[in-house]
Amino acid sequence: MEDEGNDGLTVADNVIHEPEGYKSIGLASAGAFSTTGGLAASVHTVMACAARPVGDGGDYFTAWVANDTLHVGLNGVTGTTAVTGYPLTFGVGSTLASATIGVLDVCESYGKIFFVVRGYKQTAGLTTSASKTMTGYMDY
Amino acid sequence: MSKASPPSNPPSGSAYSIPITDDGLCCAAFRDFVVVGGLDSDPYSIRWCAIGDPTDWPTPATDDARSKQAGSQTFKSEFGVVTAIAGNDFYMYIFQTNAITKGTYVGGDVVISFDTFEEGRGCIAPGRMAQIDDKVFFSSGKGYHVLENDQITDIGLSIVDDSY
Repeated sequence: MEDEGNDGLTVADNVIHEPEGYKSIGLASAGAFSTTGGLAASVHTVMACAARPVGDGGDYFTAWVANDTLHVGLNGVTGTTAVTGYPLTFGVGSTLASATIGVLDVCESYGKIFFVVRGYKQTAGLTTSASKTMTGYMDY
Repeated sequence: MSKASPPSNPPSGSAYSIPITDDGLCCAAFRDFVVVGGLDSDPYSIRWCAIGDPTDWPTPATDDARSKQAGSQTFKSEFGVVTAIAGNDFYMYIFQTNAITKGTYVGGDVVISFDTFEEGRGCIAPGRMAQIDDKVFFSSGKGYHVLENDQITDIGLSIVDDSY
């Protein structure tokens, strides 16, 4: 790296200048959600979403809050579940006012995607918040 | 600009499993292990799975864990919670809020040896670290840095650090 009079900013020699485009995530379509936890008979608003790239084929591991529930899945699609209680329902009992995915970290090992995720929601009264967390894996 | 390609069809029937109920703030792959850090039960610690099997998480310090080289490690709480882990096939860096520890596989009863080589700069929060090959970029309370070959370089001096 060299400083070429950039007032403290340095110029890296191997910066990737060409963006690689972007990959779409199918969260906007009702068909992208499993009815076991995401959008049921009617479309629910996705309040929060976060994604991390996995593999080298343009896939993303995603986490999102919709229908008062925290979900995870590949490219916005949940799979089947072997875990009792998934997806995780916040169940605070009031209208969902806001939500965020506070933590999402992903890694790959021996054919599995391992993830940690934490979602938060706040009610319409702005006095109640709740969080849900998952640490798990799925086949990839 | 290369053309964006659509995502691949996700595998159908993929099942989720929750091998441990102790949730964490970060995870990473390190050699034949998956490591989770910032646990609910102990935010200053990490825990790793059985060697070569990310689905098996025996309770640390049990005979089952020892036979499979699974385990856990707690770091000094004065340096803050574990916020990020960067791993590769040879070593891993465990970031606390104000420290960085290098973990190296040694096998045997010890499994992984730890060396805290930086006390002061760490990863200030989960999600504030990015790894590209052997370079690890992170944000500390003192600015932005890159860690490579155990050497930390300040990359945000002056304008960037002052702005953000």
